[in-house]
Amino acid sequence: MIDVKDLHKYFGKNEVLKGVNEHIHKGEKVVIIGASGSGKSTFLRCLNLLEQPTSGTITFEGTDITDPKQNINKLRQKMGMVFQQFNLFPHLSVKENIKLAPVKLGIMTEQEAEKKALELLERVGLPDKANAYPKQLSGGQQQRIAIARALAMNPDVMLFDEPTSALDPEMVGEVLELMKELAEEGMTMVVVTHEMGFARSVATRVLFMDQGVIAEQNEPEQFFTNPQHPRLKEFLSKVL
Amino acid sequence: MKKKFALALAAIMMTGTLAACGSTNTNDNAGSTADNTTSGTSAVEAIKEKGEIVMLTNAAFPPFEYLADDGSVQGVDADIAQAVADKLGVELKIVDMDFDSIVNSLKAGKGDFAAAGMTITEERLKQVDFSDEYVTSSQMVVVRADSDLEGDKDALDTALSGKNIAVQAGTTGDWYAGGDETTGSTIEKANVLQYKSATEAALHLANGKADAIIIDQKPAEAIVAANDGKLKVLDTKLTDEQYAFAVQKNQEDLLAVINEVVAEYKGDKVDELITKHMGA
Amino acid sequence: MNEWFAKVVSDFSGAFIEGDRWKLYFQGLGKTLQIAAGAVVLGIIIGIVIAIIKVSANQHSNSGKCPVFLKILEKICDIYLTVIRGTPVMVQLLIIYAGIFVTMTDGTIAAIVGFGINSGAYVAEIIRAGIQSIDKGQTEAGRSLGLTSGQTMRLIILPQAIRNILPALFNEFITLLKETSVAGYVAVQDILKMATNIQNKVYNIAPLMITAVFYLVLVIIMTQVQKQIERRLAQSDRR
Repeated sequence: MIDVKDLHKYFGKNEVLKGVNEHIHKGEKVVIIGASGSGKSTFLRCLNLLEQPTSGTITFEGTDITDPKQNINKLRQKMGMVFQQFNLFPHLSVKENIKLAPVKLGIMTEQEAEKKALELLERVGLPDKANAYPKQLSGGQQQRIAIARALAMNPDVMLFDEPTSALDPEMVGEVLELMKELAEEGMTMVVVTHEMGFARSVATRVLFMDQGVIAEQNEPEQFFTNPQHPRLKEFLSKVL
Repeated sequence: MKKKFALALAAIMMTGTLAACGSTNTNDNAGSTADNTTSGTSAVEAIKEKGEIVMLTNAAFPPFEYLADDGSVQGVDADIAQAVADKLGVELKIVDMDFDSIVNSLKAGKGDFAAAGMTITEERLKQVDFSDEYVTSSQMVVVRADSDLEGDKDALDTALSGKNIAVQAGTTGDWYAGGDETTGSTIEKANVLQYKSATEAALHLANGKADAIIIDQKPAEAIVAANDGKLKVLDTKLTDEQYAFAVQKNQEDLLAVINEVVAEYKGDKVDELITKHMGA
Repeated sequence: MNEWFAKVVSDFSGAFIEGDRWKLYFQGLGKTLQIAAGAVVLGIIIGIVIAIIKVSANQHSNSGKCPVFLKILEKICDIYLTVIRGTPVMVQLLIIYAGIFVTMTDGTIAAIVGFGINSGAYVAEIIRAGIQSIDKGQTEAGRSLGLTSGQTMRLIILPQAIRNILPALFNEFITLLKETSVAGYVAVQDILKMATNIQNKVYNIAPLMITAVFYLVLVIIMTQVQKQIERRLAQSDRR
């Protein structure tokens, strides 16, 4: 589904990604962990070109998205993204947040989008917040709305960039629970997170990024119980 | 809300009024100058005590006053003023300002006298006193060299009606162009372009913004001379007027000193000075 | 005290009522408003164009590729902003009047253009700062949903930025209105010029006081409008 070949990314003179190769299959739930500065967020943000790769190719559903001739806006419609800071649109109500993209991009009519929004709000457990504004919601509620907003586009893959890092501890659970349900429904997911419990229970594969490369990867059981790379051992000893 | 607004406005008007009164009142007090001379002390004594006499002028009116290359104010008026200062045995200090602020500044005591090629007019006489005149002058019409404008005063007034006339703001020429009857003008509905200086007026006549300039005789000759061949001054005199120095009201002793100097200079000596400064 | 009061009354009636002089103030006021309104319109147009150029150049260079023509345009805008903000408006006005509209007699056009060009620089900075004050995450969220950069700007960034822009823009217009008082230097008979003309007849400061009140009333009205707008924006903020 997503095929990454020899991905490099520089910020100025600083090389953040030093040749990443990775293939993500349909239905996989890939969790990426690593210390801060390891390049894991940059890697995720390259997948939908929020960061422009310096070199290398990313193929999504058979299309090379790094080719400037490709319409990246069309491709992004199929890749939902959830941010650490939620990034809900504060000037729009919850319902309008969800409806905006499908309607403005001509994918749904106003009525279809309305129906979809209410369904999704039900789905994320916030049916009574349709007319609320983001500021009136807790962090956990905002993040669940942000997930609903991404789902409104019926994406083929969901990208999560540290979705629980900005949340108060008591709200982390509700967001992880929702993500877990999504995973169980078969959504393809790529998640950058520090939640090891989530990685262990939900991931089909865990990647460890270190110094701009994928240093180790495995299915979760082996990954956590039998780490090979010395840096991963060190990392796990600190976080577990 | 509306009431508050009105109240605030009223308060502002009052403050303004107070300020206005403050200044007008001082001016009405006989002989009181900015340095708070007590009544009884003469203006001349106050000047001698200060050690300097302050002349107000607008240094953009050659040959009577202009800025020399070194930045000092030179001209016929400056030379005569120097003679006044010498007679009093004090330093001469020249303050350069907009022409249209001079009378008000003099009234407010910002200077001891004004020497600015200033014409004696009834309106100015209500505000300040004038010395004896030292130059007779006229308002003249300056046009571009290729203009065929000519005729006597009435013909020119008619021809200039409705035209773009450049003037120096606040001068007799300004009022004349505006059709002010006290100047004897019969110009109607001219578009008066008010500039800060005679030289600016000349610039905008030369580049075509204005059709003519109405200005005093000597400055007219000076700007024509300075615009080598591009401008000319017409022969017709629109007015007859007298230049004099102005002092604050009720300062007879200072006026007497100035009149002595003026008497000395009037005629040949002034003509010499004009010739001298025309070339500069 | 009575004498004093009588003097005030006579000064003000001499400066305002006698000879129907009040008509001159209103004539001058009309000129002032004409210049200010023209300059505001021109300033907004220039400001928006420059802000668009600056913001899109900024976005492009963030994403690593900025077309050459955009870089050139941005450079031109930078020079414009530096020159206009680095020189006094009166100097700009005199140059435009004597150097650009060389043969045009009516200084009004020169004044509108001069103040418009001047204001445009400040408006551009206000709009640019307003847009760039919106968190980068908002743009990313919009783009990640598949919206184009234009849609993101129009639907997400501008509606939020306008809250920061409008009040600052109003301040700029108030400043502009007051700055037009130097228009007299290019032979325009605005309200201040009219007042100095009247002053040369009455020789007291009453005409200036009257002019000050005219400006003050205008500014107070504009400030009230500004407050109304800010109140509305604040209301929608509390939702």
